[in-house]
Amino acid sequence: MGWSTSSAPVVHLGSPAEIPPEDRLHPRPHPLRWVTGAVVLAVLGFLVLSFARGRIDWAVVREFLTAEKILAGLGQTILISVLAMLIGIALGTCFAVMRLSANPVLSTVAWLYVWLFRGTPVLLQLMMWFNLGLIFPTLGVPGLFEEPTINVITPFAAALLGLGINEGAYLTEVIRGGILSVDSGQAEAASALGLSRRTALAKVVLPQAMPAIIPPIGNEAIGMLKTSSLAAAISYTEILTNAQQIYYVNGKVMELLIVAAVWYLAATSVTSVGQYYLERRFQRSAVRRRSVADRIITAAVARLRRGAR
Amino acid sequence: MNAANAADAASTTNTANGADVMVRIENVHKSFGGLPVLRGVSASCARSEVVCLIGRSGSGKSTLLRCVNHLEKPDAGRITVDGELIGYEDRGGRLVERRERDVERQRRDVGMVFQRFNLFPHLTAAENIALAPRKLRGLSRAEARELAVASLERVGLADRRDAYARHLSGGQQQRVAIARALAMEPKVLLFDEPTSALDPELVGEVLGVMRAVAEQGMTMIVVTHELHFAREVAGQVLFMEDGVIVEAGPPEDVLVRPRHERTRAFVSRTLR
Ligand SMILES: Nc1ncnc2c1ncn2[C@@H]1O[C@H](COP(=O)(O)OP(=O)(O)OP(=O)(O)O)[C@@H](O)[C@H]1O
Ligand SMILES: [Mg+2]
Repeated sequence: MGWSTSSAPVVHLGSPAEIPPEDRLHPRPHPLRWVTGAVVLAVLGFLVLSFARGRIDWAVVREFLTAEKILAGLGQTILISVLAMLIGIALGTCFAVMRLSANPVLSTVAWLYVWLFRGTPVLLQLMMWFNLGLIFPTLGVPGLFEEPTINVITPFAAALLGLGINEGAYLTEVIRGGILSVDSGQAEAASALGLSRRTALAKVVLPQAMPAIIPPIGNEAIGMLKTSSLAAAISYTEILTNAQQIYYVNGKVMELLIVAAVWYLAATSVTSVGQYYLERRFQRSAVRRRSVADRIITAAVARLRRGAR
Repeated sequence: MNAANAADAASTTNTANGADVMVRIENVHKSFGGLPVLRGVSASCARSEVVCLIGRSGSGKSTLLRCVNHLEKPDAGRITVDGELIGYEDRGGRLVERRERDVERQRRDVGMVFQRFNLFPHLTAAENIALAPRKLRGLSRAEARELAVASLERVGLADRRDAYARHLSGGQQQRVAIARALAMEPKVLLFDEPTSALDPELVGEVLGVMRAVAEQGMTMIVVTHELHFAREVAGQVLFMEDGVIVEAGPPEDVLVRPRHERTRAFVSRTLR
């Protein structure tokens, strides 16, 4: 023992005390961490090396990364994803409020909506929208205007309806959960002031539901970027369709799939950054744990800002 | 003779104990899923009077209070504020619930302060207060803020106008909640155990603000366990048990010389 346990407790008064070396406290050493880290790095290195030496023509990847057809497809992917998300958020908010309504007809209809569109594959839904003309040869208000369904339900319209309405069903549950996470005393206080239910929802409840709603919406947006590739099945031309069309001609299958993958990663990364900022905005009070990615993003953005100035 | 009769009739509808009636509660009943919680409550509160409602947990105090601003729908009976029937309208002899818009308008005249403050945590103190006047009284942003600061001054918190609720102590939060209710210039203010969620050392500042508001002539119905406050501020104390008012009267009677055994037991237990 470096110090005596037998002596009576000493109360040190007044001046700050010195720290003798034997009083210093040290963090616990973790030698095993270095070993596991090294093993994982070795495995990773091996994987990277095999891809670099594999039969991939990186020149082709580089060439097609900015090909006009690929970029056009990327634009279509982003367009349909953004629009379908907007439709999904609008529908989700609307049906979430209906689901919580005291009117049993409204809440049942909302429940049916979620049940129907969450319970069937989105690919199937896309195909049904696309083939709507088989049940309704024409669309419109009888007497006022009518159009052949084929002209109205283009691949774009069918993809928008299919993806947007499907997304709405998921977001209904997300937004409903967010609303329910807000203490009921909040809506009550708003009511007691004489605020209408609509104002209470918009100004009091929804802003407080945001921290619970934003992260899943971000995940859904990232999912949407990828799910939108299913619209290829109804001949909507997005990035994956265009990549396929190119490799049917030149046979560079893997290279073009890698090109598409790079762009998907870029788009989902940008979405993650957006999600990060939205979350931070709506979560002013909560203590946040920061991941490495978190820190890299913040540092990178800070550097960009400094550079811009 | 006729005129005297008419005046007499008027006096029974408009006055209680010779004063102007602000809140009248008549034979109010309410059950939750078959469990009777209010079993025929009648009481009245004069303009500028402070009525304290006391009683054990579960006796129906909160439920009664929440009926006054129609947060809770009574099953039977009538509640009027300043002569206007709350939550219901007479349709050829039948009392039918009002449209939501009308209920919202009526609630502006009835302020409420909750046990757990219920401040809006995403808004600052001033924004908490300004929200309802802006939305309901058509004030501009600047006017509403001015009103909010003036209300905060009334509760002694003008310097904390830009603080969020989580940066305020419990006592300060409850004072902001009182200012929020006052900003709507209600005809009556309801308090549901406003100091029960506070640390003991913060109770005094909230009671002080309530006393000041009462002295400015606000009509108040206060559910409370603070019998000293009731003793000093209330014009009338109501003791409730099992959904009925057992005893009512001036505090020096109900709190000091209770006539009923149950009131006596409650008062001595609470004051101990
Ligand atoms: N929304 C509700 N649903 C079912 N029962 C309820 C509801 N609100 C109140 N009650 C019941 O009604 C009874 C009276 O409740 P109330 O809150 O009015 O009592 P209280 O006198 O305010 O009591 P406390 O001092 O605990 O606040 C209690 O038995 C309570 O469980
Ligand atoms: Mg209560």
